[in-house]
Amino acid sequence: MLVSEIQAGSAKRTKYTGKWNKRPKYHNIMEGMSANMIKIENLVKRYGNLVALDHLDLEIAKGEIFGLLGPNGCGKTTAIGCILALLRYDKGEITICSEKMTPESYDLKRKIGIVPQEVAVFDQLTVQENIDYFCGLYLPDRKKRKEYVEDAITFVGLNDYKKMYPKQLSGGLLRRLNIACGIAHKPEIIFMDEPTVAVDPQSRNHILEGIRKLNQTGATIIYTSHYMEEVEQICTQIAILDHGQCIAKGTKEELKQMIRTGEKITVEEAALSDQQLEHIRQMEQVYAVDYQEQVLLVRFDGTDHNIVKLLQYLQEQTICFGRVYSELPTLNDVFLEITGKSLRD
Amino acid sequence: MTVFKGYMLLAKRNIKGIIVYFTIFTGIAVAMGMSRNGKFSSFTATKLNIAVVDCDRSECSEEVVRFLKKNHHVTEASYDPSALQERLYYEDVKLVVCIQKGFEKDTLSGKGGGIEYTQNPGEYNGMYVEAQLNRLVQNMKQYYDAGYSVSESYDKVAKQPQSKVHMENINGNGGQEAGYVGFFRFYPYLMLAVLCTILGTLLVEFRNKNVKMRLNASSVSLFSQNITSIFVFLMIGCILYAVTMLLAFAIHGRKLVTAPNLWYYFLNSFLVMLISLAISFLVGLFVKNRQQVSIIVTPISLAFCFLCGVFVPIQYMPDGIVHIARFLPIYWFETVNDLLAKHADISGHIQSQILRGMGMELLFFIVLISCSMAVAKYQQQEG
Repeated sequence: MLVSEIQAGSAKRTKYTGKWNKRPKYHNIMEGMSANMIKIENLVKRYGNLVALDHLDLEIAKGEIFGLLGPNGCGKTTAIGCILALLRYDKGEITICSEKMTPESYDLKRKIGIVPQEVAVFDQLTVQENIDYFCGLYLPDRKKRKEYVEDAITFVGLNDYKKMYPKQLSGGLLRRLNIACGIAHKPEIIFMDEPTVAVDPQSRNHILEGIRKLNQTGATIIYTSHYMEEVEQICTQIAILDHGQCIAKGTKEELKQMIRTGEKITVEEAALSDQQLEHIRQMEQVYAVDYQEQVLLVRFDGTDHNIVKLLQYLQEQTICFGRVYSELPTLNDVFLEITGKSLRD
Repeated sequence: MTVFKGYMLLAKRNIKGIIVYFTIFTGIAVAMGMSRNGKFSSFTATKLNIAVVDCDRSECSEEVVRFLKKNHHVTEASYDPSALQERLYYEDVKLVVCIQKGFEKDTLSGKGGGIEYTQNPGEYNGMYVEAQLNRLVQNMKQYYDAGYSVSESYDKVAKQPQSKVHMENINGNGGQEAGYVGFFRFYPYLMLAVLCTILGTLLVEFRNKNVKMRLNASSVSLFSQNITSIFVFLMIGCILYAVTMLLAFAIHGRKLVTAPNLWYYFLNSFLVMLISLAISFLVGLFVKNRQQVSIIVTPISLAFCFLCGVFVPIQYMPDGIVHIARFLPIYWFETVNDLLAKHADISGHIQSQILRGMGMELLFFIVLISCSMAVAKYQQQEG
């Protein structure tokens, strides 16, 4: 996807008008450079005999919210570790802003923010001290840092908790603190490794909204999760990982077009004979029928008038039935069709 | 600077705990040091508490009692075995000398014997007194055989010129162990325990897997982080060193100020502070949480101290243990300390021994700090 397309996509959303818009205009740095912010080629990482990343290729363009989706243990966190040069890898090349990423690439690291999967803060420092400390690792200027820290606190909504210690915060607030520590220096690229794990819905929404706001201000975000709903909700590009390989990549629409399922219709409490089931199988666009414990699940490879046709048939056959609902394919269906297993497995 | 500031903030947060630990360990070290004062000395002339039972009541036995009174603290007692045993048990007297009936007759006839010595098991003072009395009786017998009376014989012996004993005051303290020696002997325990606790507590925060990940991903280089850490640890070590030295002056005052080897003690203690820092840093690399800090600190500090002659002086330790202790840095600290305690004048052979010991300490520090850096780098790379 071209950068202009992403920016056009972003423009449709409501613009965040808070202080965070005062972030430096990093995109000028990128002028004349490749549109790829991050490029991973043929990346292999082994832990003994276990291949964690198997010839992984990825390209992440500037301004994207790039989702790395996959079940637990598929290599998402390992991929982030390799990109950030925190882990040594066996093969491949990683470039960020057209420069090779190494453990000594401190200029590149200055442009990167990281929100780890686990909350990474000092238990004995207050909220403000923690954010100031981690911001200070990138920004030595005390005056500027003070302003940035205040911005970050406001951004994640921790103004009332500045003087509190992490142990005094709830799970959701801790996650917000974790995010604030990673973004306070206003980086160009932000890695977020499952930032919403074990978070209540309210905090989750706050976090997701914050990620969108960050993206609107120009940051490229690499977001890993095994929650497909979240990825669908916020990511402009999605790569699905399984066994360390990228098995599919594209926008959510592109990914859904890759699979046969166009619509799923579920009919509950329907008493059907084998003959009736066979008739349903023969219906137009139906390609899979599953019937268990009086619950009928019909998969269609198109989306035109399927529910009407199915209900019409059930009425004709005077079949009693309960709740009927239709679902469009999800990323889980994409994963299911490609790998034969569910993302939740 | 940020990493430094982080350490300082964390140290500030833990200051109460640090003070409590410092007070406890200092209290233990000072108490142990003071309890050992004067127990280990090379040579001192002493007068013993002796109970004398004179069953002979002869002129000769009276001269023996006179001699004992001249050289020791003597109390005359009647022959009551249970009362005398009780006095020995409670260390009211160190020795019971019993002059038996017929002592004068046997002595003058050349038969000899007639004096019984009773002391607590494990005591050797009786041999010293027995040697003195044997010499007295033999000399008196010679004068008696030459025609002098018993009292004249005693006077002749008493007037004999005493052999001059020249006691060289090698340690500058009359053979007695100076009070501050105990303090310096227990110094490694204090340093190890306090530094392991402080550094362990600080490192636990910084070695948290997730915080470490954030630090490694930041634009502050690993080298800079390590240099800052070393600087902070050195600073903490130096502060602790200064405080403990002031404490030593406060406890031992003028004696320490006028100590002949003061600068050697300072240097040796500084080296053991560096070694304790290196050990604490290495230990801190393996500690996962704050609970583990207190669990690990005690066995490590005690093991080093028991093996290296802090609690039991090196000369009393089995050879096998001493051989093992040679591979531990605190052993060399204690060796140097022992030499300093025994010698006021540091020159020649003694000086080279002391410098060799200090050199070994420095070498151990370099090895330990190199190991720590290697472990830190390995842990960093393995994530």
